[in-house]
Amino acid sequence: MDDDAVLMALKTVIDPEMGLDVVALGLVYDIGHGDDGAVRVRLGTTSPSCPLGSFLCDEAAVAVRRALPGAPSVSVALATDPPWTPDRLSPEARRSLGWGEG
Amino acid sequence: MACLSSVPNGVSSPVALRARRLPLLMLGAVSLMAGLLTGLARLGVPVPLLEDGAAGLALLHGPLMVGGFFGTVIGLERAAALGRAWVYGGPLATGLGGVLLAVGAPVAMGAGLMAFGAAILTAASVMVWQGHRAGFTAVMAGAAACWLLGTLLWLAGVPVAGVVLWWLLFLVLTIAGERLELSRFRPPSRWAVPAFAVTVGALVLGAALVPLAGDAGWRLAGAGMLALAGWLARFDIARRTVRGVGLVRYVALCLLTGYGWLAVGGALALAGGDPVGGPLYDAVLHAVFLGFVLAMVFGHAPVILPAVLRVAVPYRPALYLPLAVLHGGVALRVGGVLADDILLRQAGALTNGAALVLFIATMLTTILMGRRAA
Repeated sequence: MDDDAVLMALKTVIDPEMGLDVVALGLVYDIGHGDDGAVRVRLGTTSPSCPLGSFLCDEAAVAVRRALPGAPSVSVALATDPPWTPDRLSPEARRSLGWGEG
Repeated sequence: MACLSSVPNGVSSPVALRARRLPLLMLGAVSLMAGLLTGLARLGVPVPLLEDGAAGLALLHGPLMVGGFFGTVIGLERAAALGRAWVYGGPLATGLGGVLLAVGAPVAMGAGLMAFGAAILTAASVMVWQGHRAGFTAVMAGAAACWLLGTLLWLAGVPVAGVVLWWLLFLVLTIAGERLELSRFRPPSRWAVPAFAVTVGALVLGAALVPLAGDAGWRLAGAGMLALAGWLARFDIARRTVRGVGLVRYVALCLLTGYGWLAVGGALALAGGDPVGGPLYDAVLHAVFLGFVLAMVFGHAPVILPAVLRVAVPYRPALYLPLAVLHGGVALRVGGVLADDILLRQAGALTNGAALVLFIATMLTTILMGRRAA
C-alpha cells in the first residue's frame, strides 16, 4: 500500500529533458520501509556524469514526503549500480519513445 | 554514495550548494564577457575597454571562450554530477585562468591554470569511464583529453589557430557523447554505433592530420562534422522530444537547429580546406562554437541550472527570443564571410553578443519571476 503511494508520488518527478517521470524512465531502483515506517528510495540515473541525479533525488524526497506526511523520515539515495539500461523503461515510456509494441 | 536527500533533515542544503558553485559560474562569466569583447575587437568593432591592449587581448578570444567559459561550465557540471571535491578544482583553475588572461596577466599563467583544469576534467572523465565502460563515457573522456592536448600545445607555444580544432573537438565530442548516451532511449539501430565510431574517427584523425597536412586535416574533420550532424539528425532523441511541449520542445529545438549549424561548419571546412588565415576560419568556427555549441548551452541551461544551483527556472516562451537572435547572428556572420562583407560579419558578431546578453537577462528574469511565484 505504501509502495503504491510512494510510486504515485515519484510519478510526479519529471526528467526535464525527456518530459517523462522517473518511474516511466525506470530510474526507481528500490523502495524500502523501516520498522518505524521510515521510507527509503534508491534512484538511478542514465549516466554517471548526469548532473540531474542529486536534483531528482531532492525532488523525489519532497514529493514522497508530501504524499506520506505521517512517515517519520523519507530518504532518497542516488544509486549507481547496476547501470541503467533501456530495458528499465516502462511499456508506456517505450511506446511514447517509438519502440512499438513488445 | 554520491547523493542522499532526506526530508526533513536535508543534507544537500540549496544555500550551501549555491555558495560553493555560484562563484565558479561567475568566474566563467568573466571569461564569457571578456571573450565577447575581445571577439568584437577582433572584427574591428570599437570596444572602449580594449583600445590600448586590443591587439594582445584579441588573440586570447579563443582561450577565454573555450577554456575560461565553456571549460569552466562543463567542469562545474561534471563536478556537480560526481560530487567529489577534487573535481571542483577543474572549474576553479580554468575560471581563475580566464580571469588572469582577462586582466592581462602573463599568458603562461592563465594557460597553465587552464591546462591544470583540463587535466582534472580528463582525470574525472577517465574515472567515470573506468567505473562505467561504455561508448559514451569513452567519448566524453576523449573529449576532455582533446581539450587537454590542445591546451598543452598552446602552453608550449603553438598558436591558437593550430590547436583550435582540438578545442572544437572537446566541445563537439562532449555533446556527441551526451547525445550518444541519450540515444539509448530510442529503439536500437544496427547502424547507429558503427556510424558514430566512423564519424568520431574522422574528427580525431582530421585534427591529428592538421600539423602535417592542414588542408586534408580540416577537410577530413569537416566531413566528420557533417557526418556527425547527419548522425544526430537521424538518431538523436530530440527528434522525438520535439513533439513534446514547453521546456522539452524548447530543448529539442535548440538541439535540432544547432545540428544544422554543425552541418554548415562541417560543409564549409570540407569544401574550403584549411581555413586558417582567411575569413572562412571565422565562418567555420562560429557556425560550430556559436550555432551548435551555444545553442546547446541555451537549451540546457534551464535544465542544468536547477540541478547545479538549485534555482527554479520555469519554462517561458521568451526563451525562444535569444535563440532566434543567436541563429540570426550566426547567419549574418556566415553570410558575411561568404559575401565577403565585413559590415555583415560585424553585424553578425554584434547580434551574437546581443543574443548572449538577452539570454542572460531572460534567465535572470525567469529565475526571479519563478521565486516570486513560489
